[in-house]
Amino acid sequence: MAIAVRTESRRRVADGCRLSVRVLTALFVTFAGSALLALVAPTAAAQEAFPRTIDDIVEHLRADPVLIQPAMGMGDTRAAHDLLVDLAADVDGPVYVVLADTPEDLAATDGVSEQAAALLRSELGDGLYFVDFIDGPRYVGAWGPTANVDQRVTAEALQYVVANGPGEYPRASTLLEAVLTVRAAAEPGEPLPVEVVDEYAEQPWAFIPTEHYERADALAGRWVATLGTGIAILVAGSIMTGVVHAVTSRTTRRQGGSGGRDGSRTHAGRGTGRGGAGKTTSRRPEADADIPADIADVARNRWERARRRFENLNARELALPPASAAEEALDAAERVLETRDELDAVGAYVLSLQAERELRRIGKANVPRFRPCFINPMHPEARETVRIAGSTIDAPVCPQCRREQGSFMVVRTRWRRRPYVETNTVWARTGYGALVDNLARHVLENRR
Amino acid sequence: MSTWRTGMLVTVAAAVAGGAGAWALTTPGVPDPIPVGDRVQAAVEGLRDSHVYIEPAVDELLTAEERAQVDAAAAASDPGVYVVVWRPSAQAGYYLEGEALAQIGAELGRPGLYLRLDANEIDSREVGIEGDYLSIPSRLDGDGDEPAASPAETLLSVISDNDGREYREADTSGSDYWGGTGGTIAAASLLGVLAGMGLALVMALGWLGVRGGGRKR
Ligand SMILES: [Zn+2]
Repeated sequence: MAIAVRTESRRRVADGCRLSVRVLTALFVTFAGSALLALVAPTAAAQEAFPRTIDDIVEHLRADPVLIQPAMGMGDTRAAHDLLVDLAADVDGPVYVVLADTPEDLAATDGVSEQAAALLRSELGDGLYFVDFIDGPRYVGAWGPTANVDQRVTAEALQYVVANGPGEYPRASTLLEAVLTVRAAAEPGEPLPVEVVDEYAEQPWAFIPTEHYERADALAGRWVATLGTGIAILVAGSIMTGVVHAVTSRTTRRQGGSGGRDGSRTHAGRGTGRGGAGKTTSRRPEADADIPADIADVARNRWERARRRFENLNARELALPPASAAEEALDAAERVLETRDELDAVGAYVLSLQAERELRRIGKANVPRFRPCFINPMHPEARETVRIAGSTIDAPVCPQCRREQGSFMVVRTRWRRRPYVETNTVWARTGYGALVDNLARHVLENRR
Repeated sequence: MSTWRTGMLVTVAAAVAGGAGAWALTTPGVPDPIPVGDRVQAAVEGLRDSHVYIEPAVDELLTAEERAQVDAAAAASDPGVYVVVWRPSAQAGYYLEGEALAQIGAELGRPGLYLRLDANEIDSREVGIEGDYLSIPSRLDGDGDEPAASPAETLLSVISDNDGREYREADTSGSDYWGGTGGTIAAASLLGVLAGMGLALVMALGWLGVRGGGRKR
């Protein structure tokens, strides 16, 4: 049977487990790195770490009861050795741990670990023996002072560790099993404390690591998800923008087609009465554009209120500029108040508001002048100046018209409804003061 | 004009936010890198001034003479060959022997064909190169009738087959599943465009529906 080099790298193993390295990893790796420097140099000690035969192993265990070779050390043989030596010191009785390559003289036999344990015991005497070779299977035997060690304690702990382990199929290392076995032997008959088990389970040597390509695939998968999501939204957004643009511009053309002649003022007013002006489609009720039926009464009330406040001014206040501006506005309003013309009534109303504002401005320079909404002077006060849709005019509009430009205020004549801006009046020319600074003066000149 | 500008601004912002969200959602699923263990590190040190590393536990697998022969052949081979001799183990800080070879190659920083063998089996891994097909026996003890080959014979035969085959340097650390960097970008683009068009269809129908309903009222 032959395998291709390239397919080898794709070999997946169904029960591959994933290693989730936690906070301790960084510490462990640092520690492992420094420990490695000492391990790497070939020394006499390193030679001894590779006993070949049972006799070699016996000799090693007489000097050092823990034998671990790099093939079984889970990446840091020195640290594993030291940990097991420390744990063995707490056990009442001898402890021998062998995690090594299979001895040459036992290689061909079945149950190598158990045989090895028996042979070691005959040389070294009673004690706790944890023996595992590369070929496995691991064997735990306890005789003499450690005979009461209950292996079920370790088994339970391992079950718990694997159940809570990382990845889909976590596999505990032999080293973890050895550590838990020796730790359990320190307190025979007692279950292992959960926090102790958890701490060992979090070590990087606790589980057989996952394969490299799982990380490579996950890293690439993350890029696919990130770029794919971004590209999907870009594509969807671009298409949607195109659709919205196409649909709204077609709607605008259809609605604008019935509009009148171009001309800056009339252009601004086209589309009034149907939909909206320019490209902005209005969904506000058309009735909003009508002048209120009671405008004459409203205007008169406003005018009277402003007039009273003006008459209450003292001599010092009367000398200030806002007071004369207020007086001028009240005079202009009075001229148009009783003409029985709707547009004039609106004008009287706006002029009264302007007069009231001027009165408030006395002694308060930071209060702005009153500016009506160019679209409809009955709207709230204008806050910002914007380009009027479908025209070349920049004019102040109320906040709502800024978001969505409504229809121009409509005046009913005998034959039809017309936007006020299409009338031949001082109001159309001044936009009720939206287009000029001093509405009162324009009105006074117009109604001399 | 402003429909375009607003639409594209919103689109770009949403794309960035969506990408960031996808990144954040997929990050917990990325396993941490596997640290280089002492067995692998010992092989790396051994291969710095040789093409053959033999773990002391199995140094009987090659005689000194055989070792020199294999070393010379591996050094002369193109692409280069690096040989690790040890018995396979899942308890040495990596899972598969191929993974250990990839780690060794990455640590060593020398592209080539990495081989691991013991008396029974061979594992191989191309690190930093992508070469033409190379047939490598997976077992040394012969297939059925064939007599068992010695480790040295097997190695010399593989090295000889390897020498002179076409190859190019390549990043072999990427994902085979997604087909490397190019494949990853292509996959993302394809998935993104298809999903984007589907999303646009749903959004457009939804928008036109809401709009149509609103206009009738
Ligand atoms: Zn308004």
